[in-house]
Amino acid sequence: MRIMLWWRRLRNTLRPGRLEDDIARELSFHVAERTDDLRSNGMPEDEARQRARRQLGNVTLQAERARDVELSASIDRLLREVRLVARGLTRAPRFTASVVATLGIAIGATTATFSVISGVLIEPLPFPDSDRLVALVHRTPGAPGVAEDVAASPALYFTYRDHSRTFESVALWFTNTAAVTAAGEPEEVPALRATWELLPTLGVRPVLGRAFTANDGVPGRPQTVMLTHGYWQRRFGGAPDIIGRSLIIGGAPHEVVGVLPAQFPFPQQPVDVIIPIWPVRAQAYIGPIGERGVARLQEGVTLDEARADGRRMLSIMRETMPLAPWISRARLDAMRLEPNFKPLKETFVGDLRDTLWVLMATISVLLLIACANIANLLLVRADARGHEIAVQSALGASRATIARGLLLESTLLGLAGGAVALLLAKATLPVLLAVAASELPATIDVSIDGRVLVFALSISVAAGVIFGLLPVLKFAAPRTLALIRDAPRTHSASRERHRARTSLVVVQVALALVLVVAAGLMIRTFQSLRRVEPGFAAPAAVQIVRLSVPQNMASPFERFIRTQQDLQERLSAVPGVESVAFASRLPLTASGPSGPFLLESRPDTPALDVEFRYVSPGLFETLRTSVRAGRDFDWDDHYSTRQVAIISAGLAQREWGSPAAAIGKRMRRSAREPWVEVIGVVDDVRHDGLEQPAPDTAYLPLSESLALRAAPQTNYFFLRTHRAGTAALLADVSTAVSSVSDRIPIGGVQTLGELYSSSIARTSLTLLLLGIIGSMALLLGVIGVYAVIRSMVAQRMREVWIRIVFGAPHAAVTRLFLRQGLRPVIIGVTVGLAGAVALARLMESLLFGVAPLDPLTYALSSVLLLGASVVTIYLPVRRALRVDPMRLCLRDPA
Amino acid sequence: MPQRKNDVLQGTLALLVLRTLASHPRMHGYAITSHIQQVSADLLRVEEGSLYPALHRMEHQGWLRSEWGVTEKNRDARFYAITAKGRRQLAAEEETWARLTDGVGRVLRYA
Repeated sequence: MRIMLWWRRLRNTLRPGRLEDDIARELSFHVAERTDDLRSNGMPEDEARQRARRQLGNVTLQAERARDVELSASIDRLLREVRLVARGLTRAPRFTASVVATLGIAIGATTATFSVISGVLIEPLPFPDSDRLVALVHRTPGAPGVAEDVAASPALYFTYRDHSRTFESVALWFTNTAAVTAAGEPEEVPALRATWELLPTLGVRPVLGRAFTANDGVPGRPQTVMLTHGYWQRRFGGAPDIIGRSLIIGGAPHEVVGVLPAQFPFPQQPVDVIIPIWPVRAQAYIGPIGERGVARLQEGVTLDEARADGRRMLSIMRETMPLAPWISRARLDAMRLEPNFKPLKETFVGDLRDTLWVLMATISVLLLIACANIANLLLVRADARGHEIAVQSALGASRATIARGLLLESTLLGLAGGAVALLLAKATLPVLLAVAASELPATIDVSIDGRVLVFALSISVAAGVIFGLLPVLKFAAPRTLALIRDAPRTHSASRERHRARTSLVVVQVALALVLVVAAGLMIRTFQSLRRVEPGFAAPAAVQIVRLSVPQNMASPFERFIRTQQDLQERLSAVPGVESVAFASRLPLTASGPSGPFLLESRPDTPALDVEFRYVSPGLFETLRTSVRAGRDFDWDDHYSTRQVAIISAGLAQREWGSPAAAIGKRMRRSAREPWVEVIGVVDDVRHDGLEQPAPDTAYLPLSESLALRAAPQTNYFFLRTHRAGTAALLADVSTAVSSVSDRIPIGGVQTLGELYSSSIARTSLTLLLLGIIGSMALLLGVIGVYAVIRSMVAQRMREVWIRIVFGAPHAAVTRLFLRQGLRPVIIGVTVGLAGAVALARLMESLLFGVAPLDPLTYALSSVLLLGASVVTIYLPVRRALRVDPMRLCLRDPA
Repeated sequence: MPQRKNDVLQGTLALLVLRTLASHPRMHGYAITSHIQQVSADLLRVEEGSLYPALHRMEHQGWLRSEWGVTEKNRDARFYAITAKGRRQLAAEEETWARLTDGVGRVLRYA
């Protein structure tokens, strides 16, 4: 009933038009009736109407007055109450400050996290109709072990482009780096390589010049390039005459045809240049998959329809496209390649989703704990104001009035906390983003926008209502009111109050335990990751640089390999460098290509999926990967056509029983390829990241790449030196490289130690944040326990002193308090364990090497909370017991 | 300045309206003014400016309810009726009024 009334008032305020309409209709009826009356008394019609109008007065004024009756009364009262409550709060500055600060921190953290979630997960990609953009990823249920999201290839691109009934357009793209020479030093920049359809598919137009057309990228024609806005500004100062200028990219001139708009969030990490690719139909084989595909769905087409269309097209591809030499039709069929198209946004965000929601969940729990703490403070305050409330009640204030006053106060506190929170969130967001930079898609914009503001406002009000409800329930209850009214300070009233505060302790302890367990699981995950043998040692003393040989130095093969050997030798001569080697791929980054290998010893079994990379002699020595059997490569292996390989220990162990037994065994990519002899076995290396098992790996000499007619132009050079990471070393490296050729840019500068850290960056980041949240929860929980115990001690000390005077030992008294104080803590821990299990399930994908229900973590977290509580209870009791009881007992009762 | 004699005394308007509606189940605003004016033999006159806000307030307090209808002259009009709550309020106000007039009468007689 009351709600209906308020609802009507609210509606009247929000939609005055409707009410005014009603009133205007009613008043015009009145005028009409009056006019009739006057006319029947003989007045002419015009005059009658005028008179009637005049008598009624201004119609609008009437309408307003009618509406104001309802509004002004309630608004006046609300404003009066707000003023009253605000004055009350300023009279208790310490209370107000601590509540607003606690809330500000908790809501601020929640708001900052939410703004990341809003920007990364909720906000659509800023392309027109971006919900129609899909990433062309695939699944191979028949080939377990192959990554979930299999990308695209020219064969798929041609198939989808030519046969689709659901796509508006299809584009193929990938990223790598490009060596750009504008003036002076060559520079290695991140590059996006894409078919010309990419920009139309995304719906992006250049701000300057033109976009690519079907003629760009065609071999034999002048080569072209587009620049991103950032690169154009940074490198060319935003020069408007950039269009038409020629840049040397990878040794060949490219004409700049266009500049992209400033906002171009594609792909996840920013790029500097876009270079057109033009897949050749005659070389489109089914098999190699290295590019990625994106498509725009036709209007009204669903993802499921697109997938169904994709299945149809894959069977067309099977019939029309040739197979790569190393893949058989039987194997292709066994893999059961099928479309698994996903919204583009989803592939951008990836598994960040889980991390963010876990963070959001834990921070919300922290907010709840903060609310519980504040409810506690409010209860204490309401106690102190018991008399005031009793007076109000005695003067006839209804329960509703008192409840409204209390709720108004907490809501006001909530809003004040929210305001502080917004300031805090605004200040901390850049810090949060900087810390998480390696994990967030850099091209996605995160800011405090309207949605975040609405969120902050709602949780501020919600928090105010949540922690305000408890005092309301207690003090507006008729029984309590009677108690206060009749005997404001009886023992039973304080027991009542005590029960409420004890239940708060249960809530706080339970929630704190959930967060401590979450932090504990992350600590265990971190430990497990640190314990993983990566397959190399002392990574901080290994400098990595990426050197890309320009196209015209990559062939003939002898020239290419001579250049690589030159580079290795010059770099070895750099002072302080112990050894140098290179590889076509980095470890830990899941970047290696893999392919099938058939074993001579097991002709009947299906091919093994083996990751392969090209490596120079000395790599294992440089990385300190131990050679378990056989020998390392030498340069002869790279020049000769004799096919040799070094394999990982896990593979050797599994297939041949021991590393030594693998030496001399042979394997090959397909029945048409020559046999490759195993000449060495090395320790497993975690190529796919620390949390992934070490893949079966084959290390091959560069000569093997001849078979693919694609020498790896870009290689990672590893320098074992105590000077790793210094600018002086880089200067020396630069000199050494330019002594081989001045057209080889240096990129990807980092130490192996940094690579190692960044491979566990997400875990470290989650651990850091959960660690902070967990410690805050523990602190708040303990503060809650302390507050209750202290008031309990204060209340019962007289009784206790009397006991002591009559000979009760201190230990017995301490036990008494411990028993009473620990009861709610133990209940809280029990409840919290159940909550922790729920959160741990949500966290499962973030964990490594520890079960979500890891008993040790749960036990230790419980012990930690219990231990902290025991100390918290013991301290105030001990302090109270130190006072000489006789003196206090003999003192006049206060 | 002495009040004009036919202005309805502040606070009594509700009483008059409730009383009118208590004996006439369904009336529109204009009928209520005419009725009060007639019954009081033109002694009391209801300001239109006060009547409608008062009607709305009383409706929101739950003393009246209203609905749109058509008069005999086929005009759209808002008709008011008294509710049970309104009748209780009427009883209370009648009592207050009686005591007030009694009190005022005594003062006038004996003061």
